[in-house]
Amino acid sequence: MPGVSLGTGCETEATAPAVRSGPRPEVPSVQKPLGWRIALTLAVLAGSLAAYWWRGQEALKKSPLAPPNPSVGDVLKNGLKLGLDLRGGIHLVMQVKTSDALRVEAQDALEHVRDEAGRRGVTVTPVGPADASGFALAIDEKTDTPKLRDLLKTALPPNAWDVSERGREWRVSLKDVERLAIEDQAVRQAVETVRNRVDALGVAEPFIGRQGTDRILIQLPGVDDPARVKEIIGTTGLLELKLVDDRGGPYPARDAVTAAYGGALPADLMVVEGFSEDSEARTRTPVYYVLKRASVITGRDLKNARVGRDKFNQPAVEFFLNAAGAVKFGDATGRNVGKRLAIVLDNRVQSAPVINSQIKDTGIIEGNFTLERAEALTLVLKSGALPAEMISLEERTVGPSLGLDSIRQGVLAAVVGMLLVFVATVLYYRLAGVNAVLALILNAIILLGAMAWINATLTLPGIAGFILTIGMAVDSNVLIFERIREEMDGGKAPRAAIDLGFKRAFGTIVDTHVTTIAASAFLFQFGTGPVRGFAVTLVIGLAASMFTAVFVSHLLFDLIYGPKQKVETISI
Amino acid sequence: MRFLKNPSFDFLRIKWHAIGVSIVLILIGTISLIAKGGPRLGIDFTGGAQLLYAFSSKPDENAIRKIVEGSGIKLEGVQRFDKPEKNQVLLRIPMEQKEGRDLSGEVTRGLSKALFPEGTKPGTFDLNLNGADVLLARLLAEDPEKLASRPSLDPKTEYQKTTQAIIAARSRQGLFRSVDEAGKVPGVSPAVADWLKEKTVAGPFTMLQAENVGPQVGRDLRRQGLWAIALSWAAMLAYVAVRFRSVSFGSAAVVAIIHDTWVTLGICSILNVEISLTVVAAFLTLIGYSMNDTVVVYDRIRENLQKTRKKPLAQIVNESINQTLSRTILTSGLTLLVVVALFFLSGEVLRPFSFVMLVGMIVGVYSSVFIAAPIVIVWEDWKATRAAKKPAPAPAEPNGKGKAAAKSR
Repeated sequence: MPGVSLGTGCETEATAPAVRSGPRPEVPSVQKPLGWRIALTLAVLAGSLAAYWWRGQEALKKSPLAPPNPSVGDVLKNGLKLGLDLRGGIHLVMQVKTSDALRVEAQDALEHVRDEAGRRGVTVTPVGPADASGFALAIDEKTDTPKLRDLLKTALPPNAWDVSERGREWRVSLKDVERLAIEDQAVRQAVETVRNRVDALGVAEPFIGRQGTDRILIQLPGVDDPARVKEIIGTTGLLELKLVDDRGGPYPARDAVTAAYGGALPADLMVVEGFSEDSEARTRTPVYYVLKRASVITGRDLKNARVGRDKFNQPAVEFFLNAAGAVKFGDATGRNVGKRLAIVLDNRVQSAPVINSQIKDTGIIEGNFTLERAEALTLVLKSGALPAEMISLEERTVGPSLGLDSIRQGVLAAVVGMLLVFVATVLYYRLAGVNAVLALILNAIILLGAMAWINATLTLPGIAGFILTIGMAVDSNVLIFERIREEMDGGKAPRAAIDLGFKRAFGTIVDTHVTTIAASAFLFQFGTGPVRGFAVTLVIGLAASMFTAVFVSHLLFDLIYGPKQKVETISI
Repeated sequence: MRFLKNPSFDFLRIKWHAIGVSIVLILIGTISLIAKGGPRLGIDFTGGAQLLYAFSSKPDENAIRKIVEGSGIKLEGVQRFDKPEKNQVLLRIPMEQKEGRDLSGEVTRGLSKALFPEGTKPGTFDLNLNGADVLLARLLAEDPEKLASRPSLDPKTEYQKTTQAIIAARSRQGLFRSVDEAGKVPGVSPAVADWLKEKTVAGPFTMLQAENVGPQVGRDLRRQGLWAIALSWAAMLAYVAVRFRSVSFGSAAVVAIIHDTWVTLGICSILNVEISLTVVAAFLTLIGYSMNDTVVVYDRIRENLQKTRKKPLAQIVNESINQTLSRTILTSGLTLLVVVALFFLSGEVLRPFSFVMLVGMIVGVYSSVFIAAPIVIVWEDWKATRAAKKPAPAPAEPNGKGKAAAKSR
């Protein structure tokens, strides 16, 4: 015979003695105490039901639309938290473009250096605008390099910037540590802002969390209006009020701007896109304004915003400034009466009205908004701007009717699948089959109770997991029953066969459970909510089946055949 | 009731036939996989978008294709989904290099503009395209029941009830065919019904589902999925190797689950089943389930080996398969019952998942009986031949052990 080495040290208690001592003596003449086993089983049953009931009550209490006197059915319906795929909702993964935040930081630093240079009488000539890594200064014969070096050292925060002096161009760049800190701050701030906006939307049980370094996961159950939510969450909401240059346009094309300014714009001006509207044809054509780079006020100076009406009684957004903002705004408008002021939202000019007189603390954003759009913008302005633009990496929206359909079909499949298993088991095993069915029902109750207790989410694949659990849990009973039959075929008395069957099948049952649970454990590491929901149901269901098939089934056998010392036949 | 009483089939005699069948299955699957350039991955893994719409009457796929492509969106496919009477259409949009485009919004607006222009006029409100929040905001703003003049009632609570009733009714029936249907929903007051009639419209379609996965996320999920499967294989190998203290058992078990995964994947490829996240979940479950069956047989082999070391291994293996056979048939039969229920009843969304479970479960049972245990024999035979320093090719006497087992009975 080929040399096979199989371990003898690791078999379970159940098989080891049997192997060593050959045919077992007929032990179970002494009944194991039934009392505590019944108590434990009933306690688990009661605990599961109570957990489910309690969660259902809690959910109803939180739900604003719960009926005043919830019926038993209402409570049962609310025991499990449904996943987005069943109750409908939106799952979004957004990426924060942290380079935006870095660019702002670099631009601020550059402005600061410039201001400081003016104060100290040093000339600095920036090479283009700042980018995400920093900014550059042009150096020529007239530059007072020692003074500039000193300026950069003292004007910029210490330990944040590197200056590399390379001939005619000095590059001032962010240190890595500082860059990471700014990126981290930007993502955190974005999470906060999104949270504020979602709270303002009034979504029940939203999930907003950071994923990896620069991603935000947003899950909004029950939201059935993806377009609006995406708009509210994704809008940067950066409001800037900037003066329009005297020759500021609007121009029909960027080329026209360049031509008007003789080839190059002065460094303190910028081109911003806007649109001109033909309300008859309902079309918008892009136009280009030339604005002062410096903002008069920004969204940070806002105190409040609300939906108002423009002069044509179209919805518009009114905003109110805080004290500091009002001072700046009053000052700027007072000095620039007759000039135009551009209202720039997310780098697009919304409108550029002429300043008729000094304005202190209020303004209006017009843009031919719909009521919904005006409301969304109000919400966005109130929650503050995002520190950087966000792009959507993943979007999954499920409408409520598809979710309802899924529930209906999933529940039907579960009921039919369970009934099929029940009928087949009883037909095949008779009374023992009834025993198995009771164990399976208890298994299902424990599964539901445990899921309610840990507040796990039921998803569509989770329903499939539930059905599979029933099919797989019956395996433990089959293993035991087949073993009992085998022992009886081998000449054991029925009562002994039962105990031996349970003992000898136990090791195998542990093995089969460990393998399936181990394989499903990898599902936790992987995939989105629905897949995880599947893993949760499967793992809890299988763990519960260890208890029901081994412990409860055995107890049921003992209850049926226990009191009699001599059992002639068993129904299996 | 009993299907089999003391079965004594000689499984090992046909082990080479079985291995041959498996090799053929694997080859056919592999050829299909190569010919089609790999498994047909869904948007979860490739990136791209899928939009599912329901229409109030039979949709015209060609017209929809024209509208969507006319608005500058590439389409990979327009197909009917689920039962024909549900009037559902699934649009597949290939991956875009640029992330962050609001495809669902663009397509919905495009369809709305072309199929129902009166619904896109400013100020019009399409009941089938807007959600509860927006409807509530409208009701609050326009206050058709004049609740503002009745201080005893909180307008927000009252209109929230109305809104929920309307949206719940829409969810139950899919979409409203007319605004009258919305007005007749129980809980909607005559004043609101009049307002609905006057101020809202019921467009011809509604969006059921939108999935838009960017290339980055697709790449991440692809990597994670492959890792999950490979790690689960490794975990199974480790478990069996430790539990049975035997490399040959461990390796044979893993060969069996790789076999199951591969054959199932091949069948998916032949039948063009799309591999999505949930399908990968099905694969992982199968790996566990197939391992289940294999472990039951192995446990019995070990037990029988401990009882007697006199019989040849091949005979013990064959007897063990036979002893566990009725359990194998019964368990897989019962599990198949639920998987069949799942396949036929749980709906179109879960169909690929339940299909993979169905196929994989059959393959898994087959491999536990015909592949996992025989491979142990083949392996041990091969080791024995090598130990005897015979220069013969790996399988020395393909049928020898099987015959011995047969004779001994």
